[in-house]
Amino acid sequence: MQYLIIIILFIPIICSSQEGVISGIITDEKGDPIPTVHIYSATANKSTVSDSHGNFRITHLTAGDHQIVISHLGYQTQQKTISLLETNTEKKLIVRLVKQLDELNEITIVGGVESIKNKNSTATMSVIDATKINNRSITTSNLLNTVSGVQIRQSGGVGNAAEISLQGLTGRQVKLFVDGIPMDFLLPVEELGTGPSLAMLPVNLIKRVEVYKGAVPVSLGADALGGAINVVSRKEKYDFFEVSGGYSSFDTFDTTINTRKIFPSGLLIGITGFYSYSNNDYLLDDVTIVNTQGNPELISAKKFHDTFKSYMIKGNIGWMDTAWADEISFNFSYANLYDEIQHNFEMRQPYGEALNRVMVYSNALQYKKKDILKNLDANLYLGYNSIITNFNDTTLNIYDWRGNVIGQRTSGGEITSSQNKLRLTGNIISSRINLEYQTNATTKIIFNNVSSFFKRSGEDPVAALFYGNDYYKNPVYINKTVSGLGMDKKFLDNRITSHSAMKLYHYAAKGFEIKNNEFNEIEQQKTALGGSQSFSWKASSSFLTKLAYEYATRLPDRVELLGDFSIAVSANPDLIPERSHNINLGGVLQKKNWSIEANGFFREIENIIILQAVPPPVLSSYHNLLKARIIGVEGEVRLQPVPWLNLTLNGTFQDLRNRSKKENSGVSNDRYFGARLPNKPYLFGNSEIQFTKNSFIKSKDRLQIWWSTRFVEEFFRFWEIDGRKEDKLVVPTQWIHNTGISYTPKHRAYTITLETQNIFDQLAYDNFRVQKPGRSWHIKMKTSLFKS
Amino acid sequence: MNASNIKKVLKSLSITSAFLAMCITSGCSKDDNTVPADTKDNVKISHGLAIVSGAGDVQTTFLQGLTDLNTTTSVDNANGTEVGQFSSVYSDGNSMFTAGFGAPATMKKFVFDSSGKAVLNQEIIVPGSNSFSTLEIINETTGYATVGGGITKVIQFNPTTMRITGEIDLKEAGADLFYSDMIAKDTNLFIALNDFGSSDMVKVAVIDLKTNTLSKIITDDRTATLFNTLTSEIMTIDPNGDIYIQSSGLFSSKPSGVLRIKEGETAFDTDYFFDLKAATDKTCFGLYHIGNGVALTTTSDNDDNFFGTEGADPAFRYRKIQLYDTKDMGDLEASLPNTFASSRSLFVKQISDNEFLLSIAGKDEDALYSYETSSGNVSKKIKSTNGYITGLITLK
Repeated sequence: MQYLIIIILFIPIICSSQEGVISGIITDEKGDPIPTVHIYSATANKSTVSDSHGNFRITHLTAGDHQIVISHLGYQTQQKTISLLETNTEKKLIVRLVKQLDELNEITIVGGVESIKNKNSTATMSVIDATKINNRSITTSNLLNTVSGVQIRQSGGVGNAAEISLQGLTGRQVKLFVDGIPMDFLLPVEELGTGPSLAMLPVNLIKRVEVYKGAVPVSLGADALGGAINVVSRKEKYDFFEVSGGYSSFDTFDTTINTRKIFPSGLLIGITGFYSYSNNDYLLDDVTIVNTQGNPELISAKKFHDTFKSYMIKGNIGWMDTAWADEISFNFSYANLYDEIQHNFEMRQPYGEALNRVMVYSNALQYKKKDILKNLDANLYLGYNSIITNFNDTTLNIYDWRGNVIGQRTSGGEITSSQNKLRLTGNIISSRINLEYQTNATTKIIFNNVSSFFKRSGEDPVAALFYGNDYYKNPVYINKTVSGLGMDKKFLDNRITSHSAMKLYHYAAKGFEIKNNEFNEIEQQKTALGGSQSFSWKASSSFLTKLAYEYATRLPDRVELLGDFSIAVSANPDLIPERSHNINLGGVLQKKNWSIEANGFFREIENIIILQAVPPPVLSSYHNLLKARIIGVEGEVRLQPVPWLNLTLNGTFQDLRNRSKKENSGVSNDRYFGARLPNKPYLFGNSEIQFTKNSFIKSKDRLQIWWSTRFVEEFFRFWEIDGRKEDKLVVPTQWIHNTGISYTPKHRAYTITLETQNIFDQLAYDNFRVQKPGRSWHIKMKTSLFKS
Repeated sequence: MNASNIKKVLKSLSITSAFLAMCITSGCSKDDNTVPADTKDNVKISHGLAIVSGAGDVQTTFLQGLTDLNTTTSVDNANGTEVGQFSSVYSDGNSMFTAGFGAPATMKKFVFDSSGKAVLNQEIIVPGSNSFSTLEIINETTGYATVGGGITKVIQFNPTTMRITGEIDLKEAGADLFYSDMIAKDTNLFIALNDFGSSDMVKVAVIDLKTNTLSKIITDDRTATLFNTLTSEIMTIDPNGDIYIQSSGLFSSKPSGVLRIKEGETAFDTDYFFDLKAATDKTCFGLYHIGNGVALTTTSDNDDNFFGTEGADPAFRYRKIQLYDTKDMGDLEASLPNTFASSRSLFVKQISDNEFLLSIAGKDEDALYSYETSSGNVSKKIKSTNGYITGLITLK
């Protein structure tokens, strides 16, 4: 397989064409030059920004038609098709941008820059432009949930645990990035999971979210098994100031600030921050209290110990558009999180005092330069981060769902037998080297390397009293490197684009295990290869098809390999990487007023690492057990029949089947071979209708009203083939409706939004019996001041 | 780091692993409202059966009724009631009681309708606890239960009304203990205390049922670690009224063994010790007296896979031992497959004067095997096609 990938990788280097240039000047309606205008060649997937004189230049273009998108905040986006002839390899443009009368005009189905990038990329991906909906009271988790093929299973409200499923693959198999850097370097993903981490990324600080379904591009350096999500933060290249604030039900308060100043010398200074708070004290409809005789009684009760609060302040200083750097910046940030734990995994046991606290210190140096050497673009990152987590579980009190103390244990905490006052410090040095070399007008070589050096140690004086030793002081080391080499190649007048890639994964870990009553230091190294090949074919100006194959690898992570005392998991150095053959085939037909997209996907996964939890006294540990096959289809339809109406409908069907023989699944026969995997949603979708009325009260103001619906079909908690069908345990069908209205006055100085989520107050569950919030009300105001 | 500390870690974490086991084996349930029992139809059901089904990390227990054990050669779970937890089963002769892993400790009472369907009747929940450890149902009005998770008490309950009727304080027995098997004899309740070898001795709590108080803790340092799982037993009574207690020696320096508490006594018999390790050269698990001092236990062929986590090959084999003479009687039957005794299922159920059923959770089959004491014949009685059998109860 690996040799085949190598062969495929170099097949496309068979032809080249003469290089071309598109250059020009950008002015406003008066003819004054506009700096920092973004000019993007969708055909070549190259972009630049205009300099202080409004000049721009895009090089290394092939002969043929090029779709150019010129955009700048406050001006109407323009698209032009430029023909480059082999005999005339440079075209000069004079582009006059027109002041934008209504920002909402950008929200059309023909899309902006990112949708066109998506259209021409070989990757099967969805791009959500967060800036278009950041007037809404929507979390990043909710935002992701609107993407076809994506399912966020959230255990409760703001900051509660969440699991991301992407075309059937879940949890650690889906990698998260922030600006191309693995999210677990930056946020407590491994320590607290993706739910609290996503809550530390407010939508108002996000530019867009890229969802890669299947083959993950070389530029994202991580061992994702089947897809990745890259959150791209806002980095406006103009003076900018925005503040948003919102208040919602359950004492939920969110505010963000985002500002950037660019001086004529190229010096840029930016400050970003947020504060989020939620009591999460929504009503739980069916929780159990127990009478004095031990018998349960179902009651409704508000959550009483689920407060989540988080804040972050981030500074950014650097230079842009200098002779030696397109952008060089130093970022430093401090983030803090407080997260009370209300209940156990399935919401049957309430907790009254257990909580997590996290502090994150981040420092990063970023450098970008096009043509650092001839035809070589560089994008470099160096970061040093500290993630300090505290887990407190020291009370002997027993709480009921009314928040009353109803008894005391003799020993142990609410969650652990030892009680914990655990403080863990993880220090991470990470680097990313991304180089792109344009060998000719149709060929680009991409190299990407992400390396990280992680050390974690800690202390727990409370647990040490119980154990007789503070095991958390034993450090754990993990060094990880993911290198990728890829090549983009265009054929047939740029109608066909090929992307070939190989990835090399290396992992070295050092920790300890307790086995057979002995404490042993353990070391482990893993090396693995992966590769992918994808094509896009632009059959016509409105129809694009894509085909991608990836041989994906996911290395065992720290907890799986080395265990973690804080969650009672022992080490298993014998784990081998998860592997998956991923195939995606799809197409998009995009017309002026409508678009339709359909994608099929196939996954053949083996060596799936799962937690094998067994009765005492053995410790739980991770093992390579199941194999699975996923076949699915997803589709999306967008309509804009009239300028004031937008309709979106998407849906996903995924069939997840067990492919394990008995030896891999812990049973004595092959009964489960071919059976549908339990506890996995298989049919879900979203719809939204949005009305926009311009000049509603006054000229050039804007009113927006929307209604969205989320649907998840009922699925079985345990294996479908077991037991009496009529009363099997299920996670019930979900129909959740949200609606909202926003108003923006003429000069767009602010937007005020009123919204209600789960308007019909439906019982909503994602995981087990963990109830999500019922109907909630939201008010949000966003104000923006900017100077282009 | 010394060995005792390590054992303490294992002890603590193993208790927590019960919590984790709960996390993967339990899940959402439909509204567990009380369902009126249709006890009139129970006469058609002679036995209740529990099967644990599922693959990978998603497994749960299914309950069903059987009309005639002697005509049943194969069982599945097609008519099984999903419990939502890994559960062991008990009976008062009228109903089926489940005690499952998962916080909070929840005991469920099921009754059977005429089709053999197990219908939830009532529950007892102990808030703040991690799991029920052991149940001992004395009769239709009295039962005892222990729970894990730092709650040091015995729950006394009425199986008919499913009401907690009393509590017995076990604080004096010590903290950080796991409660293993228990057995009631006359006016005493003997509870095996599991400290996972940290004390290098055996501890048993003796409860005076006349006063519902802890009388004393008895100890013996000839062996250690009274470990059992929900589906297994390590305490048995012979017709003389003597109580035999099997220890595994796990996590300790002591061998597997059997101790005795003689009829009428509340102390270990210092003249009696059956060194199972010396007799069998293996680590033993479980104890079931089948008559005339003969008992069944299981021996581990591979202690690395004692808990079934190191591959697909089960380690345990049924073995006969003579309690009175403290002698090994050898492998029960060569043709019997190995079984995952400690991690999946171990129980021995007497169904007639001459016949015992043994659970096998094997690599290639799950079944109940019949053992005839008169002939010594071992044969497959009931095959399970849908999972391993974790319990069989007899109904009146």
